[in-house]
Amino acid sequence: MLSFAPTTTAAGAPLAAALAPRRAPGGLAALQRSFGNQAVQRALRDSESPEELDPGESADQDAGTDAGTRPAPAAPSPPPSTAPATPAAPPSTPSAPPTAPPAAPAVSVTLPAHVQAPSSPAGMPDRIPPRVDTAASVAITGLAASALPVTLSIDGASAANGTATINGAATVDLRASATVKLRGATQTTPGNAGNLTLVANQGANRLAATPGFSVAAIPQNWSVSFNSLITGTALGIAVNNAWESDSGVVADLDEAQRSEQVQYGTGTGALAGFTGLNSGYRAANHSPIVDRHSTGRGWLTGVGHIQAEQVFIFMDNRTGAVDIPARNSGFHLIRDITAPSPGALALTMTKAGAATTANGYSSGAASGSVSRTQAV
Amino acid sequence: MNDNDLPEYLKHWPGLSMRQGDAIVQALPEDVAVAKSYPTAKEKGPLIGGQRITLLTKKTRYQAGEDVRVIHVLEIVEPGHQLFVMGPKAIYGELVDGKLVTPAEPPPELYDGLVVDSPDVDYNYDITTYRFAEPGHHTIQWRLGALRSNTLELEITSS
Repeated sequence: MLSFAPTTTAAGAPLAAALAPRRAPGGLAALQRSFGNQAVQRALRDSESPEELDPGESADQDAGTDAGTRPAPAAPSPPPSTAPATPAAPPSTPSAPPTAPPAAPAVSVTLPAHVQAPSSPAGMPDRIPPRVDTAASVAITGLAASALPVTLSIDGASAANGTATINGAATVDLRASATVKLRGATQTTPGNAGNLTLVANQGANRLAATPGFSVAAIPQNWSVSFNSLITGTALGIAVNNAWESDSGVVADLDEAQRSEQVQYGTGTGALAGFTGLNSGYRAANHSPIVDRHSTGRGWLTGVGHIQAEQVFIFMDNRTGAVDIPARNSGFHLIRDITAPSPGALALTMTKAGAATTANGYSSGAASGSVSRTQAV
Repeated sequence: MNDNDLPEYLKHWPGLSMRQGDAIVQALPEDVAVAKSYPTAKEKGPLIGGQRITLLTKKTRYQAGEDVRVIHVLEIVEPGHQLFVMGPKAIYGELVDGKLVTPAEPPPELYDGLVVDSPDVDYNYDITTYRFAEPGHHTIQWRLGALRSNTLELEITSS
């Protein structure tokens, strides 16, 4: 007598176990195929002592400034000749208070709230791809003509943290607001995410800094093309699924992995009752791969229709991102069994790029469409 | 087997999912740990035609009434085959104490998604769970076509 109780077997789902050997042991092939980052104006108030200040700059210059701004250190020059070294003796009769020396104007720098490539899907940690420019707006106000320029640089750059350039150089001097181009060079290695910072300095003074970011390529822009017809015990299409790296080089995706998500709608007729699927994570630096969209002849018994949604997600070891829907990776998967003539059935299998959601992941439309009709 | 001796495909961890109602969610950490032990597991199913299926559990000794969670793995060690890695796939052909406890045969194929060329490994199967009410010795085996898994030998003790 059996003394056990199966509690969570998912048996009964119409998609079954699964491999399709090209050379399988006898009878196995058929069985195995079946299944089925506000601008952060972050002026860092340095704790420098007055003796470290530039000539002409007084410790009082900091007072009253906003967090996120710091008085501009004037270019090296003698103290103002009109500024009294010591206050004059008070007059015996009331008069106006002594005049303070003119203060240097305060410079304010605003950097992007996040260093984030526009190709980053929602949920992606701050990062830029290698090889491709990412625009960054830098707003500068209050910079006197005689003041030192604002110098942009990347803090934290190293072989492990990654490296990036600004307008193609390690540093850029600005005297006015500008949009600079950040370009990743060396990608961040896993475990070192977010250690790069775009900083704005004036001389030795830190005026602003962004939150940390990484250099990492990510997959995007899926497409589909026809590969081959599936014939035999099942009908359908094999298609090439290709994708791009936002760096422009798929090989840069060597620390990224991608996973397929498929969710079935309510089928009609002979095609009903299917549950969702995913592929697990697979390397993203080899494109294209082949997707199979097959329907066993056992299902092709009458007219019917079912549509499934497909979205690709990815994980990236460089940034630590997981389960991020890839941009433009959505497809509709449509099966139609029709009766073109009495007693005859035909299967049309279509895979077409479309904005959609599968298993809770949403993406814009992939590109391309493949559709084939086969007599059953 | 030392990790460095493993074939490349066994060094890759694709993740493990499970069904929760109609949703697919990440498998429980303890199940992931069991599945991750596969590459170096001593007990695997026999190779038949360059393919093997293997069952894994966290342990072999359970208390009566305790859930026994079973991980399923397909490995194809030679080139020339394809693995249908979408899932989690339902389990067919599972026997407990020699009796079939799942449907024997899968329904006709209906498949959408990635196929990968062998050699490779597929962990993307449903996790089956059993609970034994009485102490004693019990076995679990999975049969997939001509393939036979290792036989899990479980000892159920009084709770």
